[in-house]
Amino acid sequence: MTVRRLTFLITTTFIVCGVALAAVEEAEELTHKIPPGYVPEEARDEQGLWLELEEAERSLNKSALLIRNTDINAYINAIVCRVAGAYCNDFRVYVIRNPHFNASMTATGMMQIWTGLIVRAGSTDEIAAVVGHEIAHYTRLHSLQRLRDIKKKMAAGAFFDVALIALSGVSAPVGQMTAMMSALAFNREQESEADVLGVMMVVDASYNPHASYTVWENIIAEEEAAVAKREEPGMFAKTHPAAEERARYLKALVTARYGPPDQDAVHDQKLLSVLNSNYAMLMEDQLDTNRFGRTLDLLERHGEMGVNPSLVRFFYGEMFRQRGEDGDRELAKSAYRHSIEGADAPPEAYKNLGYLLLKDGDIDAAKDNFRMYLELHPDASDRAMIEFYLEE
Amino acid sequence: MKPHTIMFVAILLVAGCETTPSNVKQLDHLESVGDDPRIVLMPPDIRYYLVTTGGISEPNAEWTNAAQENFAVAMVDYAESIGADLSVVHKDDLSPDEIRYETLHSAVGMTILTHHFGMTKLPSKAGAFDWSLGPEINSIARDHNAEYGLFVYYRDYQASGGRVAFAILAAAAGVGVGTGSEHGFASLVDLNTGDIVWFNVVVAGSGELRNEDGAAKAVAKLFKDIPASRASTE
Amino acid sequence: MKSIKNLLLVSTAICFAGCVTGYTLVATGVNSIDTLQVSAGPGWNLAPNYAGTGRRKNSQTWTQDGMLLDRLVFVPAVADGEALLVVADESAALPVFRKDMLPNEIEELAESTFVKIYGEGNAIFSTSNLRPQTFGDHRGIMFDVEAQVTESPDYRGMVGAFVVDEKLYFMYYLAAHPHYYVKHRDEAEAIIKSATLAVVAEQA
Repeated sequence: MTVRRLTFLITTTFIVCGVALAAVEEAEELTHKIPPGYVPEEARDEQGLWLELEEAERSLNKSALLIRNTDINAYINAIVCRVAGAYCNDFRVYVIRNPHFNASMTATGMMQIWTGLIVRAGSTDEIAAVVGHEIAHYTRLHSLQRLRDIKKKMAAGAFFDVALIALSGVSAPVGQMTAMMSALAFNREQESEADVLGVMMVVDASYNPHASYTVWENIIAEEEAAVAKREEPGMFAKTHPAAEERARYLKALVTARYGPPDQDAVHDQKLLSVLNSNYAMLMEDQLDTNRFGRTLDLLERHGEMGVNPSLVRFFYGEMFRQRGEDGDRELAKSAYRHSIEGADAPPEAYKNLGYLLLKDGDIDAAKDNFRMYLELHPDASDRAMIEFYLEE
Repeated sequence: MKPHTIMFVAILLVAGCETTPSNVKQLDHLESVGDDPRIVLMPPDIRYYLVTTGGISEPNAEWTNAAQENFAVAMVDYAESIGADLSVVHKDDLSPDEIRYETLHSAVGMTILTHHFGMTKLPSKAGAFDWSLGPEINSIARDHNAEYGLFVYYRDYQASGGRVAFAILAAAAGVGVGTGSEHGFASLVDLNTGDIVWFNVVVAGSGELRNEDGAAKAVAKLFKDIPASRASTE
Repeated sequence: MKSIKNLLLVSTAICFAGCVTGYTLVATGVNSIDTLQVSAGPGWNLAPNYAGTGRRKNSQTWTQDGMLLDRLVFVPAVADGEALLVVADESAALPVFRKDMLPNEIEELAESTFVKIYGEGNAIFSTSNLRPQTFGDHRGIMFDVEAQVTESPDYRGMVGAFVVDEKLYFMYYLAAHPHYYVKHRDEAEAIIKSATLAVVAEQA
C-alpha cells in the first residue's frame, strides 16, 4: 500500500510542478504583495513565526561565524540596498562564514549570505541576481504561505508518514530547527515566482539579468568537476530546484525579454577587491572541506576573473599539495614557484614549497625557502617547527 | 488487553533513559546570601512551543511572550518579598562577554542535568557538585554592581491533542514519537568566584508561566529555597 | 501474548543497557590505549562507547567535567589511507592520513577533520604554534587549536601527534572557553606529553 501511495505522490508532484512552472512563465504581471515597512498584525501563526525569527536573528547576531569585517559587509549591503529599492530599510543582512553556496531570506527581512556564495560569484551581477530572488520571496510572503501549507500537509499526511518511517527506517525530522527548515523550503511554484520577480528587480536596479542564469551554470560546472558527487548537499541545494532546469528557463526568459548578453566582459573591480582582500580566509575555508574537484573549478574561475595571480597560484599549490595524487607534488611546486614570481606571494608559499622540497630530499633548497619564510613572516607562530628543520 | 499494552509500550519508547527525575532536585551551597544581596537576572531563556500533530514545533508567540513577561514580573516581586535586590538585564542589552557566559551556562546546565541529576554520573565527581563558570565572570559583577547572577533556561513543548493521538498510533507501528516535554534549570552564580551556589531543575507542574498567578507560583516554587536574608527569618 | 511480552522485555533491556554502560573512572598511572601508553593523574572519566560521533574502535575519550565542557581524546594507530573518524557517508570527503605526512600536513589533517566533526559550516577551526615534541623515543609535533562553533561556547585546545612504523598516533584536548580550557590545560598537556608506545616483546 505504501509504495503505491509514494509512487502516486511523486508522479502527482511532477505533473503539478510542471503545470505550475508553465503557469508562472505566462504571468507577466508579478508584483510585490506587501508594502515597504511591513509588520504582521493579525495572524497569530505569522506573529509566532516572526517571534521565532527574531530570536534566531538575535542568536545570529551573537554567532561566532558572523562576518564583522567592514569591506565585505559594505559591499554586500550596497548590492542589497540597490536591488531592494524602496524596500532597502526592511532588510538586515548577515554575512556568515560558511563555505557552502547559500543565501536565504526570512519573513522578517533577515537575509543571510554565506561566504561560500561570495567565493563562487562570477560577478557582482550574479550576487545581485541571488539577492533579487531572495527579496522576491519576502515581498511575495512565501515563508508564511509555506508554513501554512506544511502544517496542513503534515496533519493530513502524518499517518502516511508513520508507515513510511516504519518501512524505510528513515526517521522523521526531529528538532525545532529542522522543522523550521522544512517550513522555509519553498515549493517549485514559489521558486519560479521568485526567479521571475527577482529578474525584474535586478533589471530595475541596472544589473545584468543574464547573471541570473550564469550563477547556476557555474554551480553546474562545479558539480561536474566534483569528485564526491551528490555530496551532502548544502541547504541551498536541498531547498531549491535543480540547477540545470533553472539555468535553462531563466536563460530563455531573460533572452526573450532583454535580448542576448553583451559581448564584452568587464573586470568587476568591486568584487575583485573583496576577493583579493579576503582570499586567504575564503580559500582556506574551501580547502578545509577537502573537496578538490570543486576547489579546482573555483580556482580556474578566479584565474579567469582576474583575482591577484600570486594568490590564485598559491592556492593552486595548496590544492595540489593536499590532494596528493600522482604528479600533484610537481604541480604544487610549480604553482608555488609561479606564485613567488609574482609580486605578493604569501610567505606560506615559501614555507610549503620548503616542505615539499624536504620530501624530495632537496634539503638545501628546502632550508633556503624556510629561511625566506621566516624573513618575510618574523611573527610566524610555527617558528619553532621551522627552526627545528633549519637546525637539522 | 491489547490497547493497554500498546499504551505501555508507547510510554516506554517515549520515556527514554535519561528523563529528568520528577522530584525537585536542588543544590544549595549557601546558608544565606547576607543582607541585601544584589542579584542580576540574566535574560531568562524561556520558550514555549506547540507541537502539532505532524510534529512541527510551532513557536507560540503569545505563550512565550506571556511566560517571559510574567516570569520577569514574578521575579521582581519575589525578589522584593525576600529582600533581595534584583536588577534585570534586557536581552537586547547583552555585552559580548555576557553572551559568552550565557552560552557557557547552557552547556554547564545541560551537563549538570545529565551528569549530576541524570543517571549517567561522572565517577570522578563522587557525587560532588563543583561546576563553575569561572572567576573571570567577575567582569559582569562590576558592570552590574551585583554579587550574584541568576541564569534561567526553559523549554516547553506542549503537545496538541492530535499529537498525543498520533504518538499512540506511532508506537503501535514501533516508532517512538515525542509527545511534548519541558526541561529547564536555573542557576545562582557567585559572580566573584563563578561558582554555581544554587541550582534548581525546573519540573513539570511547577506552575503555569503563561498566566500571572501561575508564574508567581512557579517562581515561588523555583526559588523557594534560594538563600536570602529575609526568608530565613521566620 | 508471548510476542508482546518479548517486546516489553527487549524494550526494557535496551533501556537499561543505555543506562548502565556509563562513564568509568580512569586509573591513575599508566593507561594503555591500543599500543599507546599515557600517564594519567586523578580526576578523569572514560566516556562510554556510544558517546561521541564517528569514534574509531580503539580510540578513547576522557573527560573531567563532561564532554560539552572538556575532552581528551586518543586516536592510536591510524594507518596509511585511514581517516581520524569513522563515517558511513562516502560523500563526507574526510581527509586521510598518509604515511609520508610532514608536520604541516598533520596540522591540516587535524583542522579539516575537526571541521567535519562539527559539520562543514558549523565551526571554524584555526591552528597555531606548531612545534616539535618528543614522545618517549619518538619525534612528533604539538600545536594549539581554537574553535568557534555555532550554538556552543568557544573551544580551545592542543594536539599532540607522532608517526611510528607508518602509523599515526593522534591526541587532542579541547575545552570550553571561558574557564574550562584553562582549568584542565596543564593536566591535559602533561598527559599528552607523557605519551609513548608500548614496547612489543620480541618473539623468541
